[in-house]
Amino acid sequence: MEISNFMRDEHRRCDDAFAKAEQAVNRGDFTEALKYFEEFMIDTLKHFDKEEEILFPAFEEVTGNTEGPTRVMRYEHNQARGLFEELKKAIDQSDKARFFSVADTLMILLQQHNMKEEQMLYAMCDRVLAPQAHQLVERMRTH
Amino acid sequence: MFSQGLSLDQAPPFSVILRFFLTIPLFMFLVSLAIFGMDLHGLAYWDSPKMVAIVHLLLLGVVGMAMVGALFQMLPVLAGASMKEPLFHARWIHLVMFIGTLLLTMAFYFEKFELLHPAMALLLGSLSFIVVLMLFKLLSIDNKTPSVIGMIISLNGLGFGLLFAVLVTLTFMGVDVGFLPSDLRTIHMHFMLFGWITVLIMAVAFQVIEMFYVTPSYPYIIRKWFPLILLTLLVVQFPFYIISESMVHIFDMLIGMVLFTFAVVTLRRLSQRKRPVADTTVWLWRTGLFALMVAVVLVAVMTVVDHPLLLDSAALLFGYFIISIVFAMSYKIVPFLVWFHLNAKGVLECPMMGDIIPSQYTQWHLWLHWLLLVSLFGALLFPLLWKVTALIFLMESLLYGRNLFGATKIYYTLKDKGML
Repeated sequence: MEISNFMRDEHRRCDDAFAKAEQAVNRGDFTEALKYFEEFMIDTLKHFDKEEEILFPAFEEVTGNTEGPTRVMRYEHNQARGLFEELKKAIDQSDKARFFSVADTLMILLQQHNMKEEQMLYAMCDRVLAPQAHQLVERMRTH
Repeated sequence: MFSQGLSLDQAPPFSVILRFFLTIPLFMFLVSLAIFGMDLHGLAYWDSPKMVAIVHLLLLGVVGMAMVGALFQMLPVLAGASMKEPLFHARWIHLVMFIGTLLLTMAFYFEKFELLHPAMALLLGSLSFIVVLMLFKLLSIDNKTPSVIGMIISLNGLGFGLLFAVLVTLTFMGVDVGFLPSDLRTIHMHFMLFGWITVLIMAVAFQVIEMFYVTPSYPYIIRKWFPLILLTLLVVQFPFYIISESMVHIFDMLIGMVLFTFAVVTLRRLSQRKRPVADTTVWLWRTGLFALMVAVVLVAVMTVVDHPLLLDSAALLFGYFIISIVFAMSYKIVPFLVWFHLNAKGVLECPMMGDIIPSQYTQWHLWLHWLLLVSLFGALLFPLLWKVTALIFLMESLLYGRNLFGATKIYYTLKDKGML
């Protein structure tokens, strides 16, 4: 469960930062929104990097499976990266309607992505990477 | 161990789900026409053939289509169980359900009871196939999440509902199966409404309330046990229709308590959401859940005060609850899937969810939907208002159809302009 717990906590931290950005846009405070959005974006991109550079390769090495779940997760990371740019543009232009339209899309994409990871992929990682779980989590923590 | 799980191929083709959802406004339209065409006095009797026709048109044509479409989407995406040839199965199941629902409705509405046999054959054939196919897939999953368990239980509820549909039909044909015809009808209705539809709504809610609105998870005990408790209560209850009427009422109360708790807990989740904007779908969930709570309270009051208006109001509110959730779900799922599939095809100028179904249109729909609630209660007191209710529902069907077909048009206009 060590991998699941660590990764799930990271998801929740990203959600909190994004919720603060949405609340700021809702108030019309785009300066504050930019601050929280950048915090969310940096944390999320770091989280993606940890998965793509540490966790997924370890999973693929043990299972010999590079075309399965990790491929889908990488694909969805790229979909999210594209939406970050759209969201940044909406904040720069102080366009509230556009922001929430993109935010809705991004949130559903990320939440369904997180659920698939938490309910399936991380559970698989906990099982197959149990002997090296502690070491992997430490590497991700200091990444 | 890894035969289940995630793959890009697991997202079923968009047209699989779309065909079910696009049929909903058509059946809503037919429901309003059917109410328009009815003698106002006939609307006061749930067992009159025309009312039976309208109830089935609504529950099979509107709600059933949404539920089967949702199952096709949930099976691979939320449960991680892929289905071979989903498009082929979706096509024939949709067509057969569509024709079966129309024939069943015509059999009752126009009292052409010879149509009942082909209608039953088509509906039993398609729905039983769904039960067997999807149960087979779901039971083979290793990691059964609460939503997967909820889907399994809901399919069992549908199976029981179909079994009792057969028994009701046999009684209708003069065969004595040991139950009173009115009791059999109630048991059939309970399995369909609570055992199938409500359990499936619960299974969906456990995933999507958290996903769409970023809320805390449901308490584990609710996610794990509520669907099973609900179906178990229904299964244990039905023999008591022969043995003890008072026990049947006790079970009704217990079922009401489960439904009420689910509504309260879901409303609480929605109030705890991290996302600040309460869009149309949040209000549709709230409205529907509030209707469910009031329906349960009215049934509870019936144990003290026996007035036919209480049962009529509770039944209408329960139907209103289900339809509100169908709208709430489809207004998130359809635009997201349009974006998701266009993005997957590499469309550069991919519209966002807010561009696919503009929020002002869903807002208008919400207001119409609230107006419908007012007119439903007005019609209970002044039957002439049923015509107004039918008109409002007709307008809802047109606006809902405009929103869903608008989203579909965007998808089909852009889908071949992708780079992938």
